[in-house]
Amino acid sequence: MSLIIYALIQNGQKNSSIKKCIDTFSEEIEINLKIINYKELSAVFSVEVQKVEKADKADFIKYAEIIDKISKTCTLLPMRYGSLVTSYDDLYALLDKNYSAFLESIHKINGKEEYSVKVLFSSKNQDNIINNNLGDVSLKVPNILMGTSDSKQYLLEKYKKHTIEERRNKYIEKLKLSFLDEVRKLTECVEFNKTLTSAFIIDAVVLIEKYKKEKLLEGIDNLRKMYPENNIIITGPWPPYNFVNINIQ
Amino acid sequence: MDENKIIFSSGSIGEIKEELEKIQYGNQGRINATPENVESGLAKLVLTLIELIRKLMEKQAMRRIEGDSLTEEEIENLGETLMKLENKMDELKKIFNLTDKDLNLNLGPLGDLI
Repeated sequence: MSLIIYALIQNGQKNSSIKKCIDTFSEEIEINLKIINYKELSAVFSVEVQKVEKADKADFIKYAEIIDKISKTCTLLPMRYGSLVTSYDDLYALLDKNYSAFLESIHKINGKEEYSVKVLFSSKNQDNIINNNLGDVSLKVPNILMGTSDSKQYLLEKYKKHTIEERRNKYIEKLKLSFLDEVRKLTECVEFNKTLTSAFIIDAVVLIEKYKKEKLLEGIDNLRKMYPENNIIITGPWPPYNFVNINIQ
Repeated sequence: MDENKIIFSSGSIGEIKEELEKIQYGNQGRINATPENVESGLAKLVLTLIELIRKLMEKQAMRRIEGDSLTEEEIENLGETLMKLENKMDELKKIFNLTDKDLNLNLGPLGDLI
């Protein structure tokens, strides 16, 4: 038997509506979701009678869907995919050992939502966009590279590429600062993910109070006005996956 | 990409989707060594590390050029060395049937190696 844990919530407020939501959702997705309480915490989980052998993408999507659905009714601490224990005793032990850390994290994210902000270069001429934004496009070739030898010609080509890369990095840094100027008016909770392809300028997540959503959209619209040449997308609200990081005991 | 979650977009949504799909389906950056292809898997790993070092050397060379700290003789030697190294890498890539794209490992949450 395995108990798959989806999320932790602080019990007390909205208990009946959460229970109702979970019951309804359980029927929809044909997974029997259960709740157990431990002091101020509640854990949402399901019981798998058969041994969980292998995870697949469909399971992962379903897991995320469940967390997303519950997060619409209350603040929750999302558990990482694959969080499972083998008995009720283990589940209580988990809650007991990590009680303070769990509760502290829930307080930190209470009433807040996560949004993802991605800014990407458009496929149009990126070099022109960067040059127009940064100005001063002339390449200053160092004297040491003046000459016609193969070595110097080779290094000159490398130097040109290097200069383009440096200007690209400068542009990214400038845009990142403008982004932070806008977002820090709303929150200090901003994390940058490592950009995964060269088209990415910013891949960030922010955690804001629910009522600040419109302000976030205004801020990003200001960014769009400053850098109209890029592609921008905001998604959310997401459960606060990127702002809870607990080393489970 | 879950379209219901999009609350703001500007520019080309098609281009954004294309990039996000590249991440979702991109697994070419992983070493896929099996008993049958262990030789090329290992070659890929070794060449990736050499490529990383070569790129670092190139970066360092550019910094030194910018810092104007090289003599005429040093710049000739440096150019020749980097050129030969790049040619040698091209030869090795051909031998093991690898492209530049192959020499970039995805380190999961740490991102790409190069």
